Amino acid sequence: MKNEFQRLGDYHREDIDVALRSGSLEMELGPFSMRLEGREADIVDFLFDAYRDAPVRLKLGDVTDVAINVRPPNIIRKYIRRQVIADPGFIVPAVPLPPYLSPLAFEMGLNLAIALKCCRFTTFHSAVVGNERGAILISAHSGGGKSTLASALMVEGYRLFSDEFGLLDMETGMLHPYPRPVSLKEKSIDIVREFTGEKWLTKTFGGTPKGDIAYRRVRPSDIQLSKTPMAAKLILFPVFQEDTPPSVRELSKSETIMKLIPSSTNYHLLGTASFEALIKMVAGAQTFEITYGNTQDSLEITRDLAAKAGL
Amino acid sequence: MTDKNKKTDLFLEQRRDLLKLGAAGMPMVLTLRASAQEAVISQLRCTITIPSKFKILVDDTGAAWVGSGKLRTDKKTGNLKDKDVKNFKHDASYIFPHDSVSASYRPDACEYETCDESGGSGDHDDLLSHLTDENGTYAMNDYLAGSGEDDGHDHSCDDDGHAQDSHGHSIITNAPCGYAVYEYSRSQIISPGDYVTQGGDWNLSGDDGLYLELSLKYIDENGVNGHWPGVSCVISILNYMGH
Amino acid sequence: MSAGPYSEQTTWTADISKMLLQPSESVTIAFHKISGDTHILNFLSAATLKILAKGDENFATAFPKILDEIQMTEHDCPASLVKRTILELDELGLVIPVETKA
Repeated sequence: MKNEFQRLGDYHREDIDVALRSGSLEMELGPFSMRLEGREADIVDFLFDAYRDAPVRLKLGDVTDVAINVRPPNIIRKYIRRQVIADPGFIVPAVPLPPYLSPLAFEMGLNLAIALKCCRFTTFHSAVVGNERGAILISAHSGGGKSTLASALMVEGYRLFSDEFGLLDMETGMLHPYPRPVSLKEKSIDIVREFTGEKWLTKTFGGTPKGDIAYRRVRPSDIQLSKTPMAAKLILFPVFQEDTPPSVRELSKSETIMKLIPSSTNYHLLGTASFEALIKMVAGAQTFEITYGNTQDSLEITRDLAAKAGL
Repeated sequence: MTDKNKKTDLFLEQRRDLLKLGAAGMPMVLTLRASAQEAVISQLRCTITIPSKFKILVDDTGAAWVGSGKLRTDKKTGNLKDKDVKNFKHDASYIFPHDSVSASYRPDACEYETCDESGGSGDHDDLLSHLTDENGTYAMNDYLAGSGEDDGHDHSCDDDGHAQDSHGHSIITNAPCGYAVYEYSRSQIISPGDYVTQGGDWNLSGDDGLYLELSLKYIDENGVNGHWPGVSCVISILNYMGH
Repeated sequence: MSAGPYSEQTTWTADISKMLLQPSESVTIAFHKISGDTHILNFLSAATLKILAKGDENFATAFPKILDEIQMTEHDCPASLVKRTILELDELGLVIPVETKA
């Protein structure tokens, strides 16, 4: 059998399980190939649930960008009060979690690996969606509503680039997709369920370090277009304030840069090319801070701003 | 770098305003640094949502009982009902032994009115002062008075079981004494990262601080596998702090 | 405020070949290739950088040139503010002292 990528959901569960246990499972999403390893059945369940449309193969190619091993933190925790951590191959302050939360460890480990070790792109902690005319970069801290807004915009017809990262190409100044499941926390789970429908959500993981977490699955179309970058046309900084009337403030280019640089995990490491790409991206986009009290408000504001930006 | 053609009045006024701010100490250069720690620091941003209404009962030895049972006050005395205290302790979901709670959260020990002219112990104002934060926002009920708890002591100094201190404060002698009660509402959100200093240490205060203090005790005993609400969040921060 | 010792006679210089300067609306965004830091300069700090890039200056000689560059009077922009701006730029490595006389 040829070692070609094919849809994960088309494999037998046993094959994925064996490959995952032996560390030979390779997944390709956007610009990254990822070597995946783990022994927990929960991860296999999660892969078939949240990543069923992702391309994988059972034997590794020559090079992978990222390697994640979900394993016990030490030999004791392999047997007694079992725990797992996600090991990306370098030391991170990983959170030991009970085995039923191994999918969460898996997701957090992948995020850390990209955030801290990816040097091919300038990475910004943001969600990105786009259409055939351009991309919207949504920059906010955890809890700022970027995942909820990104999910809402997916329903509007935008394709998902990423829930967690803006990957800025330092040569072209364009944003690259890396479509992984959208992480939804606490109240946003029900909000997204309401407008997306139950079938697009994974089960909810309770008792995590960030409360309840569920994932909005990536659509096949998002994955099919995951190698097509787009230039940012709109950069948004959502600010959630409960029961606050919606408001919009246009930002200057310098203020936008001021806000984006601290949200990057590697800007400082990448030097001149990173600066020039950032200047280029910001020059080509309109930027706004939007303050909102509910998802409907943020969606309506974004619709309006996107239309004005030519999206 | 300076466009000398833009010398409109407004333009110059804006520049003058900026220079005034500079003269007042505002930096003339703003430096931005990418936060390579952003992803890691996100571990500090976890929150704990209290799943259901519960209370923490703390005694003067630093022992604590956590549960959702009733802790009513006696309308006559204004103090905890003895029966409620007993039931609460019996039905507590979590029990922490002596010295689990630091001194700032403990009530004063029971002291009994001697009925001399100098007045009794248990000055209510003093007791409240160390149990209220600088914002005065604690949702805390403290039930503090010198009394005989359930130990059978009887220190009544007058007919109705009350004594008066020199300020006229009532010293209750027939109700449980030496307890503080901290109440947490359902869906109350605690952000443990707010209590981590830049030096990477805990700086606990307020009701949330007590909750986190007991969380740390709980983790010492049970690791991540217990059911204490928010245990994973606190562990993630401990890991961040390298503990 | 400064990166090291200085006196009123200290002369300062700026090597803007080590920087990428991007004017943007009312500010200048400066990327310092040596440190990898990005700075936002307002009109005063940008003008100060420009003057010190043209030639070495001490506080006294730089001051009138900077006032001329920003088209402001001493009343609007006191010498102490210009001095502090030079020291800020020094602290960030954007200007450096070239000579200190006792």
